[in-house]
Amino acid sequence: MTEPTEPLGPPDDELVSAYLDGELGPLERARVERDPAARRRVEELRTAAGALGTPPPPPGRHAQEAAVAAALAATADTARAAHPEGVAPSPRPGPHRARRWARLGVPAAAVAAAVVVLVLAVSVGDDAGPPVAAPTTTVDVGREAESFDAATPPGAGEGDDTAADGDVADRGLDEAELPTLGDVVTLEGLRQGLDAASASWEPTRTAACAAAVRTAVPGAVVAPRARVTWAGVPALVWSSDPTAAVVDVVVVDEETCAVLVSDVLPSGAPRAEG
Amino acid sequence: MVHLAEDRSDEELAAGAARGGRPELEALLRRCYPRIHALCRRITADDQDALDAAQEACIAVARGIARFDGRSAFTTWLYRVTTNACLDELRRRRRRPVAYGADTVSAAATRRTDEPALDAAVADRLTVDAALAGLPEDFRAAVVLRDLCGLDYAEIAAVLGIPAGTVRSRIARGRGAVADALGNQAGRAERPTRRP
Repeated sequence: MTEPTEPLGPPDDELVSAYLDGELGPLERARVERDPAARRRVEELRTAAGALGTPPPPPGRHAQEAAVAAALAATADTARAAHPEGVAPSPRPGPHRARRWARLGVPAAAVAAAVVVLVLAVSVGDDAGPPVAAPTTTVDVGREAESFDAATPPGAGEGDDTAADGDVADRGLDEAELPTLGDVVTLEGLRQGLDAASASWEPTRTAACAAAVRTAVPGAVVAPRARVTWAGVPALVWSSDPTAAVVDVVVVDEETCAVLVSDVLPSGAPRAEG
Repeated sequence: MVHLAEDRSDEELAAGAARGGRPELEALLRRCYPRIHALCRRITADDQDALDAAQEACIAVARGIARFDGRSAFTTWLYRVTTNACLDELRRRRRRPVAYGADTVSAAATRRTDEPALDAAVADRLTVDAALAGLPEDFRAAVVLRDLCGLDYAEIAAVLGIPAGTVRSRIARGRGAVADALGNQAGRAERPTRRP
């Protein structure tokens, strides 16, 4: 075995990139400059750096306002936590994506297990799925989802969210009453809990959302209230309003207590095609 | 109030916010949001995740500003907070059923059908996104902090908590990936790699 007589090979990307940044000493810089291939690579990396340095398109004004409002509200939450007596909960700012439970100061332990609530449109008699009044259907039943509220009258609490549910929505959602796995919450309850001040649930992405959910949870739309497992997460499937074309997917995960997706179509709008 | 943000530096606003000044905090957040979002957008390589991460970063700034002591540049502190928010967001994303996200479905479909009509700038942006998305997140953060935010190696090392030598290699890998992707997009002959 012989030692290489020339220990230095052609400059690699690391050297060339550092050259571009002026981070090389004179000897290394000279290595790059006398190598034609390295000089070409300098230009390629310069182009890449330029592309990376081009700011992406800015978001809409709403996103900025929502973020700033959320941050200011968070400081108010902190102040409230420090001085809880006599301080009313601050309304949630309108987020670009309702993601406010974390801001309610809910410890992760308050959500003992991940709760996923899917609110999906089900038109009575629709061929794509049984009517809302159908018995509870389970899909890929999770560990804790062996039985469910099949006795709950279909439609109870739907639409105007009457007190028949007896759930958090009827009592007003506060920090002590956030849903845990197995709780039944209504869309209205979620709205109240997530963002009392906002009507910013945007009617966008609905069709794609519906299609995605149907793909993810085959048959999920058939159940007015069913427990399922979604990507291994125990979940609730919720049909909030049998008379409206509502497609609403609300995911609350264990770590963030976050609502990840929400899509609502106005009542009477056509059902999203999956 | 109207001139609050115009008349004062980031550091002055940060100092005021750290003392509990809500107008200063609000002005600071409004001024910084474009930078925060841009960094988040590049690191997450996803529009929605960027919005989430940017919002979380704003919240982290608001909650942490009292601890900003001015010993480092405000922008370095801001980028550290923002980068952490992005990496947290990406960690959360891994736990989500992302394959079912509407954005994923619709965006992928849109790109397939619309791709021929994309102009060069948009195509470049998508290419950069795709190249970045193929990198480990920490690598992504390093190159974005360098090329988008203009931090030097030492600052990036401080932000990410890694040695400067690691910063150098990560930046090189990130740029190399983007350079190769842009080169392939332009139809140029693939450059032989000199990396083992």
